[in-house]
Amino acid sequence: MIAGVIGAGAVAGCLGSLLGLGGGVFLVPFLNAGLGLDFRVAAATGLMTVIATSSVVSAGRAGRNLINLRLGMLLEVATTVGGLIAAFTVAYLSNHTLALIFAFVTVAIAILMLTRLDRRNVLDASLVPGPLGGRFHDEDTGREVVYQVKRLPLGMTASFLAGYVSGTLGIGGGILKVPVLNAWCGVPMRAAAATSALMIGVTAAASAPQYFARGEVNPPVAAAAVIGVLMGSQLGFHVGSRAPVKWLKMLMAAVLLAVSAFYFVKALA
Amino acid sequence: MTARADEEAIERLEIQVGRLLKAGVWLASACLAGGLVLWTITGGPAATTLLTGGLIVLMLTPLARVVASFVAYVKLGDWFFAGLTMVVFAVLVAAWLLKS
Repeated sequence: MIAGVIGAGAVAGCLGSLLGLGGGVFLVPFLNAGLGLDFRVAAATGLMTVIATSSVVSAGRAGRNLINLRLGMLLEVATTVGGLIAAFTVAYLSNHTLALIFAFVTVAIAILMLTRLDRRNVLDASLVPGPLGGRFHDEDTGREVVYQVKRLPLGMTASFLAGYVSGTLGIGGGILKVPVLNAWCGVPMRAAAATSALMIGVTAAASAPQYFARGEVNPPVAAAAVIGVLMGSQLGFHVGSRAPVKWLKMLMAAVLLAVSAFYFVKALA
Repeated sequence: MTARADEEAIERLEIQVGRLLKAGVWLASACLAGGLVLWTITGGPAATTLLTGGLIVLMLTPLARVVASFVAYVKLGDWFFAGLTMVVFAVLVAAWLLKS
C-alpha cells in the first residue's frame, strides 16, 4: 500500500511538473477510486502534496522576477478564503455531490489543457508596470517583458473559485486561474504560472488544517504521497526538455476525460 | 524609497522566501521519510509522532512565508501590502483555530 502510494505520487508528480499541473488531479482519483480511500482522505493527501510541490517549485524559481509577490498576495486573500470555506463545507457534501464536482472540474481541466491560450501581453519595455504589474527577463526570447494587471475583480473571482475547488477536491487549482490571469488580466503565461505555483501552497494551507483536525489525514499515506510527488517532480524537471509534452498533454487530457466519465457514472449511480 | 530600490528589495524578499520554503520542505520531508521507515519497520508511537510532526511542519511552511513577507513589507513601509498580508495570515490562523 505505502509503496503503491509512493509510486502513484511519483507518477503524478512527474506528470505534474511536465504538464505544469500540481499532479493532485491524477493522485486524488487514484487514491479514491484505485485504493478505495474515502474521498476526503484522498483530498487531504492531495492538499499535502500541493503544499510540498508549491514550496519546491517556488524555491526553484525564486530570484528571477517571474513570481509576482504583490499580485500573489492580493489574490491569495481570495484563494485562502475560498479554501477555508471549502474546508468547512466539504464536511456537509455527500459523496455523490463530491463525485459530481470532481467530474465537472476534470472535464474543465481536460478542455483547458487542450486549448491553453497564450496571448502575448508584452508591452513596451519603457512602460511603468504599476504597483501590481511586473517585469522579468524572458529566457526564450531574450527580451525584457513588462506587464500591467487588468480586470482585477475577474482575477479575484477566479482565484476565489480556484481556492474553493482546491479545498474541496485536494488539487492545486492552478490550471483554473492561470488561463484567466493570462487571457484576461494581462499577466504573461510564465509569470501567471510562477505566481500561481506560489499561491497554491498558501491556499492548501488554508484548508489542510481542517481536514487534519477532523482526522481525515492518514499520516503514512500522506507522507508516502508527499515523498513520491517530490521525487516525481524532480524527475519531471530533469526530463522536462526532452519529453514530448504535446503528446503527453493529449494523452493526459484523454485520461482526465476517462476519470471524469468514471466520476459522472459514480455520481449518478 | 525609489522605485528601483523598491524592486531590488522585492527581489531580495523573493530569494529569502525561496530559501524559507526550501528549508521547510526539507525539514518536513526528512521527518516524513524517517517516520515512514520507522512505521514500516516497527510502527508505534515514535513513527506516528514523526509523521504527524512532518505534516504539521509542511502545513506551517506557507504560514512562515506569509509572516516573512509581512516583515518585509513593514520594513519597506508598504502599508497596503503589509495589511493584505495580515488578512491572509488571519485566514490561515483561522484555519487552525476554527472548529468545523
